Amino acid sequence: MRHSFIDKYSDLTTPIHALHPRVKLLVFLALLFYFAAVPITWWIVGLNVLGLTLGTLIARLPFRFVLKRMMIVLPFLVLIILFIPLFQEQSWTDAGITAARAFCSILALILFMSTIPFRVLLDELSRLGVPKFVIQVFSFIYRYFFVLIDELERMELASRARTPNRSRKHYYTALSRMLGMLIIRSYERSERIYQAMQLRGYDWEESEV
Amino acid sequence: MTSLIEFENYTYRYPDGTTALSGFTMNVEQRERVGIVGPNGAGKTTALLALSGLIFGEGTIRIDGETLQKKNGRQLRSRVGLVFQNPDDQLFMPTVYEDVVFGPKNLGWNAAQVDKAAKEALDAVELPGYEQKSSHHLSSGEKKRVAIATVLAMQPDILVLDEPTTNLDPHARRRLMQLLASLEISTIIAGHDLELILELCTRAVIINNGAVIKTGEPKELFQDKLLMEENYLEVPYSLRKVREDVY
Repeated sequence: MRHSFIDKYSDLTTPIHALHPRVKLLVFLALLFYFAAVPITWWIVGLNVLGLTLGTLIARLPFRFVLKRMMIVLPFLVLIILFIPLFQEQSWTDAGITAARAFCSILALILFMSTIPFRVLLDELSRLGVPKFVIQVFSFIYRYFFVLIDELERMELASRARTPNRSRKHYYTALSRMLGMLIIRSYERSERIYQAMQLRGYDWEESEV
Repeated sequence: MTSLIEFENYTYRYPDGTTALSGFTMNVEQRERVGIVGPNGAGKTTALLALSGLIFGEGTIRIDGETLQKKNGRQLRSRVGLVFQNPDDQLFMPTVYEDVVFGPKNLGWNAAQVDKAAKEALDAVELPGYEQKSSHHLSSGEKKRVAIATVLAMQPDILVLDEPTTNLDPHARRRLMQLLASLEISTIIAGHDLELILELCTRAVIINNGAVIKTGEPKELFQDKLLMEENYLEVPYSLRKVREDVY
Protein backbone atom coordinates (compact mmCIF):
# COMPACT_ATOMS: atom_id res chain seq x y z
CA MET A 1 0.00 0.00 0.00
CA ARG A 2 1.26 3.47 -0.77
CA HIS A 3 1.41 5.96 2.00
CA SER A 4 2.07 9.62 2.06
CA PHE A 5 2.18 11.45 5.32
CA ILE A 6 1.15 15.02 5.82
CA ASP A 7 4.42 15.66 7.60
CA LYS A 8 6.77 13.53 5.57
CA TYR A 9 9.08 16.47 4.80
CA SER A 10 8.97 17.74 8.35
CA ASP A 11 12.41 16.58 9.43
CA LEU A 12 14.51 18.34 6.79
CA THR A 13 17.04 20.91 8.00
CA THR A 14 16.27 24.31 6.50
CA PRO A 15 15.93 27.74 8.13
CA ILE A 16 12.14 27.35 8.07
CA HIS A 17 12.23 23.91 9.69
CA ALA A 18 14.61 25.28 12.32
CA LEU A 19 12.20 27.97 13.51
CA HIS A 20 10.80 27.36 16.96
CA PRO A 21 7.43 25.55 16.62
CA ARG A 22 5.62 28.21 18.60
CA VAL A 23 7.02 31.01 16.44
CA LYS A 24 5.95 29.08 13.37
CA LEU A 25 2.48 28.47 14.75
CA LEU A 26 1.97 32.12 15.70
CA VAL A 27 3.31 33.40 12.38
CA PHE A 28 0.99 30.99 10.59
CA LEU A 29 -2.05 32.14 12.54
CA ALA A 30 -1.12 35.78 11.96
CA LEU A 31 -0.77 35.09 8.24
CA LEU A 32 -4.19 33.43 8.12
CA PHE A 33 -5.72 36.46 9.79
CA TYR A 34 -3.92 38.76 7.39
CA PHE A 35 -5.01 36.82 4.29
CA ALA A 36 -8.58 36.63 5.49
CA ALA A 37 -9.22 40.08 6.88
CA VAL A 38 -6.88 42.76 5.61
CA PRO A 39 -8.10 44.54 2.43
CA ILE A 40 -5.83 43.64 -0.49
CA THR A 41 -5.27 44.48 -4.13
CA TRP A 42 -3.96 42.27 -6.93
CA TRP A 43 -0.48 43.73 -6.43
CA ILE A 44 -0.38 42.62 -2.83
CA VAL A 45 -1.80 39.21 -3.78
CA GLY A 46 1.11 38.83 -6.21
CA LEU A 47 3.62 39.75 -3.51
CA ASN A 48 2.01 37.33 -1.04
CA VAL A 49 2.13 34.42 -3.46
CA LEU A 50 5.72 35.30 -4.31
CA GLY A 51 6.61 35.37 -0.62
CA LEU A 52 4.97 32.03 0.09
CA THR A 53 6.56 30.44 -2.98
CA LEU A 54 9.92 31.68 -1.74
CA GLY A 55 9.07 30.09 1.62
CA THR A 56 8.38 26.69 0.04
CA LEU A 57 11.64 26.98 -1.93
CA ILE A 58 13.63 27.75 1.22
CA ALA A 59 11.91 24.85 2.99
CA ARG A 60 12.93 22.66 0.00
CA LEU A 61 9.42 21.25 -0.40
CA PRO A 62 9.14 19.49 -3.76
CA PHE A 63 6.96 21.38 -6.23
CA ARG A 64 4.93 18.28 -7.07
CA PHE A 65 4.23 17.61 -3.41
CA VAL A 66 2.87 21.13 -2.88
CA LEU A 67 0.84 20.90 -6.08
CA LYS A 68 -0.67 17.57 -5.03
CA ARG A 69 -1.67 18.99 -1.68
CA MET A 70 -3.22 21.96 -3.49
CA MET A 71 -5.26 19.69 -5.73
CA ILE A 72 -7.08 18.32 -2.70
CA VAL A 73 -8.45 21.73 -1.77
CA LEU A 74 -8.69 23.48 -5.12
CA PRO A 75 -11.98 21.90 -6.30
CA PHE A 76 -13.75 23.34 -3.27
CA LEU A 77 -12.18 26.70 -3.93
CA VAL A 78 -13.37 26.70 -7.54
CA LEU A 79 -16.91 25.89 -6.43
CA ILE A 80 -16.96 28.75 -3.98
CA ILE A 81 -15.67 31.22 -6.58
CA LEU A 82 -18.35 30.14 -9.03
CA PHE A 83 -21.09 30.44 -6.45
CA ILE A 84 -20.20 33.86 -5.00
CA PRO A 85 -21.09 35.95 -8.13
CA LEU A 86 -24.09 33.76 -8.89
CA PHE A 87 -25.81 33.96 -5.55
CA GLN A 88 -24.49 37.13 -4.00
CA GLU A 89 -24.41 40.60 -5.45
CA GLN A 90 -20.69 40.65 -5.90
CA SER A 91 -18.57 41.12 -8.98
CA TRP A 92 -16.22 38.57 -10.46
CA THR A 93 -13.33 40.70 -9.21
CA ASP A 94 -14.53 40.32 -5.63
CA ALA A 95 -14.80 36.60 -6.16
CA GLY A 96 -11.28 36.64 -7.58
CA ILE A 97 -9.95 38.44 -4.52
CA THR A 98 -11.71 35.98 -2.22
CA ALA A 99 -10.18 33.14 -4.21
CA ALA A 100 -6.77 34.74 -3.93
CA ARG A 101 -7.16 35.05 -0.17
CA ALA A 102 -8.11 31.40 0.09
CA PHE A 103 -5.29 30.37 -2.23
CA CYS A 104 -2.72 32.20 -0.10
CA SER A 105 -4.13 30.64 3.08
CA ILE A 106 -3.90 27.15 1.60
CA LEU A 107 -0.33 27.75 0.47
CA ALA A 108 0.55 28.98 3.96
CA LEU A 109 -1.17 25.94 5.48
CA ILE A 110 0.79 23.53 3.28
CA LEU A 111 4.04 25.32 4.07
CA PHE A 112 3.27 25.24 7.78
CA MET A 113 2.04 21.65 8.05
CA SER A 114 4.89 20.29 5.95
CA THR A 115 7.63 21.87 8.02
CA ILE A 116 6.49 20.84 11.48
CA PRO A 117 6.29 17.24 12.71
CA PHE A 118 2.70 16.49 13.62
CA ARG A 119 3.67 15.31 17.10
CA VAL A 120 5.51 18.61 17.78
CA LEU A 121 2.47 20.53 16.55
CA LEU A 122 0.22 18.66 18.99
CA ASP A 123 2.62 19.33 21.87
CA GLU A 124 2.67 23.00 20.98
CA LEU A 125 -1.12 23.24 20.68
CA SER A 126 -1.44 21.50 24.01
CA ARG A 127 0.93 24.02 25.61
CA LEU A 128 -1.11 26.85 24.14
CA GLY A 129 -4.13 25.53 26.03
CA VAL A 130 -6.03 23.57 23.37
CA PRO A 131 -8.25 21.07 25.28
CA LYS A 132 -6.87 17.59 25.89
CA PHE A 133 -9.85 16.05 24.14
CA VAL A 134 -9.11 17.84 20.85
CA ILE A 135 -5.43 16.89 21.01
CA GLN A 136 -6.36 13.24 21.55
CA VAL A 137 -8.75 13.25 18.61
CA PHE A 138 -6.07 14.73 16.32
CA SER A 139 -3.54 12.25 17.57
CA PHE A 140 -5.83 9.33 16.74
CA ILE A 141 -6.73 10.73 13.34
CA TYR A 142 -3.04 10.98 12.52
CA ARG A 143 -2.41 7.43 13.66
CA TYR A 144 -5.42 5.73 12.07
CA PHE A 145 -6.22 7.74 8.96
CA PHE A 146 -3.95 5.66 6.75
CA VAL A 147 -4.97 2.42 8.42
CA LEU A 148 -8.53 3.24 7.35
CA ILE A 149 -7.47 4.24 3.84
CA ASP A 150 -5.66 0.89 3.57
CA GLU A 151 -8.78 -0.90 4.67
CA LEU A 152 -10.91 0.95 2.13
CA GLU A 153 -8.39 0.20 -0.62
CA ARG A 154 -8.45 -3.49 0.25
CA MET A 155 -12.24 -3.55 0.13
CA GLU A 156 -12.21 -1.69 -3.17
CA LEU A 157 -9.72 -4.17 -4.59
CA ALA A 158 -11.83 -7.11 -3.42
CA SER A 159 -14.90 -5.59 -5.01
CA ARG A 160 -13.07 -4.89 -8.27
CA ALA A 161 -11.79 -8.46 -8.38
CA ARG A 162 -15.37 -9.73 -8.34
CA THR A 163 -16.85 -7.28 -10.83
CA PRO A 164 -14.87 -7.44 -14.08
CA ASN A 165 -17.09 -5.08 -16.10
CA ARG A 166 -18.86 -2.77 -13.84
CA SER A 167 -20.69 0.37 -14.66
CA ARG A 168 -20.13 3.73 -13.03
CA LYS A 169 -23.47 3.44 -11.27
CA HIS A 170 -22.54 0.05 -9.92
CA TYR A 171 -19.23 1.46 -8.75
CA TYR A 172 -20.83 4.24 -6.72
CA THR A 173 -23.38 1.89 -5.14
CA ALA A 174 -20.57 -0.45 -4.14
CA LEU A 175 -18.51 2.45 -2.84
CA SER A 176 -21.29 3.73 -0.63
CA ARG A 177 -21.74 0.25 0.84
CA MET A 178 -18.01 0.02 1.44
CA LEU A 179 -18.02 3.32 3.28
CA GLY A 180 -20.81 1.97 5.47
CA MET A 181 -18.76 -1.14 6.15
CA LEU A 182 -15.76 1.03 6.93
CA ILE A 183 -17.72 2.90 9.58
CA ILE A 184 -18.77 -0.35 11.24
CA ARG A 185 -15.26 -1.75 11.09
CA SER A 186 -13.83 1.48 12.47
CA TYR A 187 -16.30 1.36 15.30
CA GLU A 188 -15.23 -2.16 16.18
CA ARG A 189 -11.60 -1.22 15.86
CA SER A 190 -12.11 1.74 18.18
CA GLU A 191 -13.48 -0.64 20.80
CA ARG A 192 -10.40 -2.81 20.54
CA ILE A 193 -8.14 0.23 20.77
CA TYR A 194 -10.00 1.41 23.84
CA GLN A 195 -9.51 -2.02 25.40
CA ALA A 196 -5.80 -1.80 24.61
CA MET A 197 -5.70 1.60 26.30
CA GLN A 198 -7.56 0.33 29.35
CA LEU A 199 -5.12 -2.56 29.62
CA ARG A 200 -2.33 -0.07 29.90
CA GLY A 201 -3.96 1.74 32.75
CA TYR A 202 -5.76 4.41 30.76
CA ASP A 203 -8.48 6.29 32.49
CA TRP A 204 -10.24 9.09 30.66
CA GLU A 205 -10.46 11.34 33.73
CA GLU A 206 -6.88 11.03 34.88
CA SER A 207 -4.63 10.03 32.04
CA GLU A 208 -2.80 12.20 29.55
CA VAL A 209 -2.29 11.10 25.99
CA MET B 1 1.92 -22.43 46.77
CA THR B 2 -0.86 -20.72 44.87
CA SER B 3 -0.91 -20.75 41.11
CA LEU B 4 -0.19 -17.50 39.30
CA ILE B 5 -3.38 -17.75 37.28
CA GLU B 6 -6.46 -19.79 38.15
CA PHE B 7 -9.69 -20.06 36.17
CA GLU B 8 -12.33 -21.84 38.23
CA ASN B 9 -15.56 -22.94 36.63
CA TYR B 10 -15.67 -19.73 34.60
CA THR B 11 -18.62 -19.10 32.29
CA TYR B 12 -19.09 -16.22 29.91
CA ARG B 13 -22.00 -15.47 27.61
CA TYR B 14 -21.92 -12.75 24.99
CA PRO B 15 -24.80 -10.27 25.03
CA ASP B 16 -26.34 -12.06 22.03
CA GLY B 17 -26.61 -15.27 24.09
CA THR B 18 -23.66 -17.17 22.60
CA THR B 19 -21.84 -19.08 25.30
CA ALA B 20 -18.14 -18.50 24.75
CA LEU B 21 -16.83 -20.17 27.91
CA SER B 22 -18.66 -22.72 30.03
CA GLY B 23 -17.16 -24.17 33.19
CA PHE B 24 -13.69 -23.18 32.03
CA THR B 25 -11.06 -24.36 34.51
CA MET B 26 -7.31 -24.12 34.11
CA ASN B 27 -4.27 -22.74 35.87
CA VAL B 28 -0.82 -21.37 35.10
CA GLU B 29 2.11 -21.70 37.50
CA GLN B 30 4.91 -19.20 38.08
CA ARG B 31 7.51 -19.10 35.27
CA GLU B 32 5.47 -21.52 33.19
CA ARG B 33 4.81 -21.18 29.47
CA VAL B 34 1.40 -22.54 28.58
CA GLY B 35 -0.09 -22.92 25.13
CA ILE B 36 -3.86 -22.72 24.65
CA VAL B 37 -4.97 -24.38 21.44
CA GLY B 38 -8.36 -25.04 19.98
CA PRO B 39 -10.40 -24.49 16.84
CA ASN B 40 -11.78 -21.11 15.76
CA GLY B 41 -14.49 -19.97 18.15
CA ALA B 42 -13.37 -22.32 20.91
CA GLY B 43 -13.14 -19.46 23.39
CA LYS B 44 -9.41 -18.70 23.35
CA THR B 45 -9.69 -14.95 22.88
CA THR B 46 -12.62 -14.69 25.30
CA ALA B 47 -10.55 -16.44 27.98
CA LEU B 48 -7.73 -13.95 27.43
CA LEU B 49 -10.07 -10.95 27.58
CA ALA B 50 -11.62 -12.28 30.79
CA LEU B 51 -8.19 -12.80 32.31
CA SER B 52 -7.35 -9.18 31.48
CA GLY B 53 -10.43 -7.95 33.32
CA LEU B 54 -11.98 -6.51 30.17
CA ILE B 55 -15.08 -8.68 30.39
CA PHE B 56 -16.71 -10.24 33.43
CA GLY B 57 -18.66 -13.50 33.59
CA GLU B 58 -19.65 -16.04 36.23
CA GLY B 59 -17.10 -18.05 38.16
CA THR B 60 -13.73 -17.13 39.53
CA ILE B 61 -10.45 -15.94 38.09
CA ARG B 62 -7.58 -15.52 40.52
CA ILE B 63 -4.35 -13.72 39.74
CA ASP B 64 -1.64 -14.59 42.24
CA GLY B 65 -4.34 -15.58 44.74
CA GLU B 66 -6.37 -12.39 44.33
CA THR B 67 -9.86 -12.77 42.89
CA LEU B 68 -10.44 -10.61 39.83
CA GLN B 69 -13.46 -8.37 40.33
CA LYS B 70 -14.80 -5.23 38.79
CA LYS B 71 -13.56 -3.12 41.66
CA ASN B 72 -9.95 -4.33 41.52
CA GLY B 73 -10.01 -4.90 37.75
CA ARG B 74 -8.03 -1.80 36.93
CA GLN B 75 -5.29 -2.61 39.37
CA LEU B 76 -5.02 -6.34 38.56
CA ARG B 77 -5.33 -5.70 34.85
CA SER B 78 -1.94 -4.00 34.73
CA ARG B 79 -0.34 -7.23 35.95
CA VAL B 80 -1.57 -9.12 32.90
CA GLY B 81 0.25 -8.11 29.74
CA LEU B 82 -2.10 -8.94 26.88
CA VAL B 83 -0.66 -8.68 23.36
CA PHE B 84 -3.45 -8.36 20.80
CA GLN B 85 -3.59 -10.35 17.61
CA ASN B 86 -3.49 -7.20 15.49
CA PRO B 87 -0.71 -4.82 16.56
CA ASP B 88 -2.46 -1.91 14.81
CA ASP B 89 -5.08 -2.07 17.56
CA GLN B 90 -2.43 -1.93 20.23
CA LEU B 91 -0.11 0.75 18.88
CA PHE B 92 -2.23 3.86 18.97
CA MET B 93 0.29 6.60 19.64
CA PRO B 94 2.14 8.67 17.01
CA THR B 95 5.60 7.27 17.86
CA VAL B 96 6.99 4.01 19.19
CA TYR B 97 8.41 5.73 22.27
CA GLU B 98 5.10 7.34 23.21
CA ASP B 99 3.40 3.97 22.83
CA VAL B 100 5.93 2.20 25.05
CA VAL B 101 5.74 4.83 27.82
CA PHE B 102 1.93 5.03 27.70
CA GLY B 103 1.44 2.22 30.23
CA PRO B 104 4.22 3.17 32.68
CA LYS B 105 3.03 6.80 32.70
CA ASN B 106 -0.51 5.68 33.53
CA LEU B 107 0.87 3.57 36.37
CA GLY B 108 2.09 6.85 37.86
CA TRP B 109 5.82 6.13 37.66
CA ASN B 110 8.22 9.07 37.71
CA ALA B 111 9.96 10.30 34.54
CA ALA B 112 13.22 8.45 35.23
CA GLN B 113 11.44 5.15 35.91
CA VAL B 114 9.28 5.56 32.82
CA ASP B 115 12.31 6.22 30.63
CA LYS B 116 14.24 3.31 32.09
CA ALA B 117 11.30 0.93 31.63
CA ALA B 118 10.89 2.03 28.00
CA LYS B 119 14.56 1.59 27.25
CA GLU B 120 14.67 -1.86 28.84
CA ALA B 121 11.52 -2.96 27.02
CA LEU B 122 12.83 -1.83 23.63
CA ASP B 123 16.17 -3.51 24.35
CA ALA B 124 14.37 -6.72 25.28
CA VAL B 125 12.57 -6.85 21.93
CA GLU B 126 15.80 -5.85 20.14
CA LEU B 127 14.48 -2.58 18.79
CA PRO B 128 16.67 0.08 20.41
CA GLY B 129 16.80 3.24 18.30
CA TYR B 130 13.17 2.87 17.19
CA GLU B 131 11.88 5.44 19.70
CA GLN B 132 10.98 8.19 17.26
CA LYS B 133 9.63 5.97 14.47
CA SER B 134 5.98 6.00 13.62
CA SER B 135 4.29 2.63 14.20
CA HIS B 136 2.60 2.82 10.85
CA HIS B 137 5.96 2.66 9.05
CA LEU B 138 7.05 -0.58 10.69
CA SER B 139 6.90 -4.08 9.26
CA SER B 140 4.48 -6.61 10.76
CA GLY B 141 7.27 -8.30 12.69
CA GLU B 142 8.51 -5.00 14.11
CA LYS B 143 4.98 -3.93 15.02
CA LYS B 144 4.50 -7.18 16.88
CA ARG B 145 7.72 -6.69 18.81
CA VAL B 146 6.83 -3.08 19.66
CA ALA B 147 3.43 -4.30 20.89
CA ILE B 148 5.24 -6.75 23.16
CA ALA B 149 7.53 -3.92 24.35
CA THR B 150 4.53 -1.75 25.28
CA VAL B 151 3.35 -4.57 27.51
CA LEU B 152 6.78 -5.51 28.93
CA ALA B 153 7.39 -1.89 29.91
CA MET B 154 4.63 -2.26 32.51
CA GLN B 155 6.53 -5.20 34.07
CA PRO B 156 3.53 -7.54 34.18
CA ASP B 157 3.47 -10.84 36.08
CA ILE B 158 2.40 -12.69 32.99
CA LEU B 159 2.65 -12.16 29.25
CA VAL B 160 -0.43 -13.22 27.28
CA LEU B 161 -0.24 -13.52 23.51
CA ASP B 162 -3.21 -13.99 21.19
CA GLU B 163 -2.15 -15.65 17.93
CA PRO B 164 1.32 -14.11 18.05
CA THR B 165 2.59 -15.38 14.70
CA THR B 166 -0.32 -14.22 12.51
CA ASN B 167 0.97 -12.29 9.47
CA LEU B 168 4.62 -12.95 10.22
CA ASP B 169 7.04 -14.28 7.62
CA PRO B 170 9.14 -17.30 8.69
CA HIS B 171 12.11 -15.14 9.65
CA ALA B 172 10.03 -12.73 11.75
CA ARG B 173 8.28 -15.70 13.31
CA ARG B 174 11.60 -17.30 14.22
CA ARG B 175 12.86 -14.03 15.78
CA LEU B 176 9.67 -13.72 17.78
CA MET B 177 10.08 -17.28 19.04
CA GLN B 178 13.68 -16.56 20.09
CA LEU B 179 12.46 -13.43 21.84
CA LEU B 180 9.74 -15.29 23.72
CA ALA B 181 12.18 -18.03 24.69
CA SER B 182 14.60 -15.42 26.06
CA LEU B 183 12.04 -13.70 28.30
CA GLU B 184 11.97 -15.02 31.83
CA ILE B 185 8.31 -14.44 32.48
CA SER B 186 5.20 -16.61 32.80
CA THR B 187 3.54 -16.73 29.40
CA ILE B 188 0.28 -17.84 27.86
CA ILE B 189 0.30 -18.34 24.10
CA ALA B 190 -3.04 -18.88 22.42
CA GLY B 191 -3.35 -19.85 18.79
CA HIS B 192 -3.04 -22.41 16.05
CA ASP B 193 0.71 -22.32 15.60
CA LEU B 194 1.22 -25.76 17.11
CA GLU B 195 4.88 -25.96 16.13
CA LEU B 196 5.54 -22.78 18.11
CA ILE B 197 3.73 -24.13 21.17
CA LEU B 198 5.55 -27.43 20.81
CA GLU B 199 8.88 -25.62 20.87
CA LEU B 200 8.22 -23.02 23.54
CA CYS B 201 5.65 -24.35 25.95
CA THR B 202 6.01 -26.80 28.77
CA ARG B 203 2.29 -27.44 28.89
CA ALA B 204 -0.56 -27.26 26.42
CA VAL B 205 -4.28 -26.92 27.03
CA ILE B 206 -6.70 -28.07 24.34
CA ILE B 207 -10.00 -26.26 24.51
CA ASN B 208 -13.18 -26.61 22.52
CA ASN B 209 -16.71 -25.24 22.92
CA GLY B 210 -15.60 -23.02 25.77
CA ALA B 211 -14.23 -25.77 28.00
CA VAL B 212 -10.89 -27.47 28.60
CA ILE B 213 -10.76 -30.83 26.83
CA LYS B 214 -7.34 -32.00 27.93
CA THR B 215 -4.16 -30.57 29.34
CA GLY B 216 -0.68 -32.06 29.33
CA GLU B 217 2.76 -32.04 27.84
CA PRO B 218 2.49 -30.54 24.31
CA LYS B 219 4.29 -33.38 22.53
CA GLU B 220 2.16 -35.99 24.19
CA LEU B 221 -1.12 -34.21 23.43
CA PHE B 222 -0.30 -33.22 19.87
CA GLN B 223 0.72 -36.78 18.94
CA ASP B 224 -2.75 -38.05 19.73
CA LYS B 225 -4.24 -38.07 16.27
CA LEU B 226 -7.77 -38.87 17.40
CA LEU B 227 -7.79 -36.17 20.09
CA MET B 228 -6.46 -33.62 17.62
CA GLU B 229 -8.95 -34.46 14.90
CA GLU B 230 -11.88 -34.46 17.28
CA ASN B 231 -10.97 -30.88 18.13
CA TYR B 232 -10.46 -29.71 14.55
CA LEU B 233 -6.68 -29.66 14.99
CA GLU B 234 -4.03 -31.79 13.36
CA VAL B 235 -0.84 -33.51 14.43
CA PRO B 236 2.02 -31.08 13.72
CA TYR B 237 4.22 -32.09 10.81
CA SER B 238 7.28 -32.54 13.01
CA LEU B 239 5.46 -35.13 15.12
CA ARG B 240 4.03 -37.27 12.31
CA LYS B 241 5.44 -40.75 12.23
CA VAL B 242 4.68 -41.20 8.58
CA ARG B 243 5.32 -38.04 6.57
CA GLU B 244 2.47 -38.43 4.14
CA ASP B 245 2.29 -35.95 1.29
CA VAL B 246 -1.41 -35.61 1.78
CA TYR B 247 -2.52 -35.63 5.37
